[in-house]
Amino acid sequence: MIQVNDLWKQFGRHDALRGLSFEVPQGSALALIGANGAGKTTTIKTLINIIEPTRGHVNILGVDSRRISPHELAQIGYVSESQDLPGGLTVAEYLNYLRPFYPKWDKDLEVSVCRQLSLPAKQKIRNLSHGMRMKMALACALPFRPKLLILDEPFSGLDPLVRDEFMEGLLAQAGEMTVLISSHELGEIEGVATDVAFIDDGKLLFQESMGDLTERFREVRVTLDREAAAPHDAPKEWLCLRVMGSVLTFVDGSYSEANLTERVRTHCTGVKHIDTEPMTLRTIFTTLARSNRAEKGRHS
Amino acid sequence: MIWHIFKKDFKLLWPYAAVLAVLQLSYSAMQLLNPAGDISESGLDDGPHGVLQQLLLAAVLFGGSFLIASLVHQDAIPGTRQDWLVRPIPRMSLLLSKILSAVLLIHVPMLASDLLFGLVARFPLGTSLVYAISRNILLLMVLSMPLLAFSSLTKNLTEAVAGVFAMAVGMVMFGFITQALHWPLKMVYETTYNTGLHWVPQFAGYVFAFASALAVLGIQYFRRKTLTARVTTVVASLIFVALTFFLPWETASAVEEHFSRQPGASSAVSFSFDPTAGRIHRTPNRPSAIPVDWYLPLRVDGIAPDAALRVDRFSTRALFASGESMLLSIDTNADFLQNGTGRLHVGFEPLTGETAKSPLNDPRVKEQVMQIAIEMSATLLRRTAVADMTTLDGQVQINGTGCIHRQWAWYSDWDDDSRLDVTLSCAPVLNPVCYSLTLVNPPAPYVSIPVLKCPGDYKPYVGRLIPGASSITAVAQLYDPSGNVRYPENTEGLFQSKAFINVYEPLEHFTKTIVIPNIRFKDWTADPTPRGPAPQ
Repeated sequence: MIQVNDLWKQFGRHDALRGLSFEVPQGSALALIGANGAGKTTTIKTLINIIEPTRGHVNILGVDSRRISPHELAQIGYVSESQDLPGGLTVAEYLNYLRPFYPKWDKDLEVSVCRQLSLPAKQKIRNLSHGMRMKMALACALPFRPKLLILDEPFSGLDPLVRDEFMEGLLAQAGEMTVLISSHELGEIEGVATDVAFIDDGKLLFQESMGDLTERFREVRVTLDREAAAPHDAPKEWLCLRVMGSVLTFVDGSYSEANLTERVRTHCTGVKHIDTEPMTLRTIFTTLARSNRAEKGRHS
Repeated sequence: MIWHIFKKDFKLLWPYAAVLAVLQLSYSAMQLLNPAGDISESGLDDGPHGVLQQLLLAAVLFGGSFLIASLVHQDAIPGTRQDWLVRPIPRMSLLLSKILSAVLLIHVPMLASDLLFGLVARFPLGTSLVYAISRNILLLMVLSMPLLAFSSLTKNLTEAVAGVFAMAVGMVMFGFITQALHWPLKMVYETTYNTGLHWVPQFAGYVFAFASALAVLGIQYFRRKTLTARVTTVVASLIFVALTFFLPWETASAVEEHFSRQPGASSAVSFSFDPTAGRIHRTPNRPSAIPVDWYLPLRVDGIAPDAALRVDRFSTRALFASGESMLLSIDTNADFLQNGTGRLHVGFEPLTGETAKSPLNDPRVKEQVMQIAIEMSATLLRRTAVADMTTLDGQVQINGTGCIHRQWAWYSDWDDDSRLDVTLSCAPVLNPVCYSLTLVNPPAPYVSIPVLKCPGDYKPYVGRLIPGASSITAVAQLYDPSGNVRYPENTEGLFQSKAFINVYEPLEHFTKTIVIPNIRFKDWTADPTPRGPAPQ
């Protein structure tokens, strides 16, 4: 559905994207995660030709993103926290305006989505709250049953109630759609995403399925029979090493139940006990982000 | 989809469009209250009507620009947050819908108010229609389209205002520079100004502005390359300035010659220096501090009885025995209604203040005997209509001219001049290019000499930007039978004279150079001997 190859984007002297490559297979839901300024929004805007790449290649729905036409846009739903909707029109007027542009617009679905999201049809868009406006953007992105739904920070600034309504509206219609979502609200993403791509400083650190990712990461707590010290030869997959008394904790980025004990004993002596705990996407993300920041600090 | 997008914009912007339509109608109504008409000629000195008219015109211009910018900004091109960017909206439909909106929200009401003005001002329906349609097509091409293009470079009104401010600063600086370099620029700056050829740089500017607007709109709507479009706009603006302000006279003259209606018509026309005509006389009692026009007498032959000649521009150049040459003067518009000797204005005498810098003040020029080369670009005109006014009193339609007689007056001043002026209000499209006023059997002791007047230019197309009728003034100079200036005394009798307006159209443009072999410039300043009685 989307193939990104060696994508670069420069703003003046700043490289916002630096050779980014990833893929969104059909039917998947890829979560694009990364810290602020990592390049998520730039990537998304490049995909649908809002921004032109400096170098590299994006193929979306079978065409080069630079040549994306109304035909492809009629199959892409897009919701962004920073979307400028025409404030002078009412919700109903804007939906009426959009309808003729989409050959597959389903009026019944539109009514159903608007009802589910409790959108006030006669209210002007400029008078809607931020949350309502986001729901409005979602309501404009679903009735034509897009093949690809792109969500750029859709939960930003939404209170939990609106967030739930938004997610319910989204999940109810997701069906066979391919979804690309970027968000800081990793808890929400976890329930939607099948794959995760982690971007940092305009580069892709990894892309893998949600299952593999949560399987690969574990928080490990090693209790020793003496005062603990961080092992000098610790594998690079052991992140956020911390020592407290006789306890050594770290995040294992290549966890395997079968060989964990052996790997720990290779690097630590006097091991009394090893505990492992699965990690949420949020904790994996924060661990990776901190670890990368620390790595950059060492290099600079 | 074009109509669909238009409907959305209309829903959002109709209140502004309604206000603009009211402003346009008010302006047309004000024009009818100010029958002197042409705002470009009457200026801002006409009392409350004139001031209000100017304010309304400014409001229409400002309101139209605001509406166009708002139309474009509904679906702005620069930026990355606009919702339309992710919608399957064909770019061509979007662009055409914006043009359609400009036509329907701005030009249709403007066309209606122009048409209404023409009809209420008693111009025929056909003439009023041609005026309204041609004016709005021209405005769309040279004003609305460039404004659409300019607006497409900006995201919102704040950016647009900043852009306008930057352009205004550029224009003011340009004004200062051209004023400071007046004489050095005279050879190249606005060479066609106030001549019949002024349409050439204007038309070149119109065509270029329209083409540039299309190019910028194309770059923006189909490529969304705002930086490229902005650079294109700046470069296009500089070329536009070069075309409209710095088009060489020779180029304009060649274009005019190319468009001549009857090539070869001027082959019989010849020029010669006529020293027998003598010098110009100073007007009696004229204060010596006031300069007098400095003329060279020039004889013209070969003008047919139904023709007239207009020397659009002429330059005089001194050719010294040493081989050195010096440009002495450039001037425009010397008119000849028939064969005979006329005057070519070269300067003023005495030359004081700013004019003291003129090359005519060079002692070599004043004192030495030398050759003078006069280069002339001239246009042969043919009389196409003679309109009978029957009387100079009252407001009447004058057949064959597209004009309505509005008012008359007589003037005299310190120059060698006493004249009767008849002011006409002419249809805004078909007004005569050149015309003269002939008084038939004026009461004794007056002898009336018609003067050729050409207030417009020789443009071969209809359409004008300035709204309203053209105000033109036909002139007859008044002399007594001995050829002396005669200042009017029995004005009532004069105004009862039968009068004709002769209308002329350009036939052929041509260039000629004559060389006067031995002349001393000093010998051709004004004769201090007065001619005729003092003005009343």
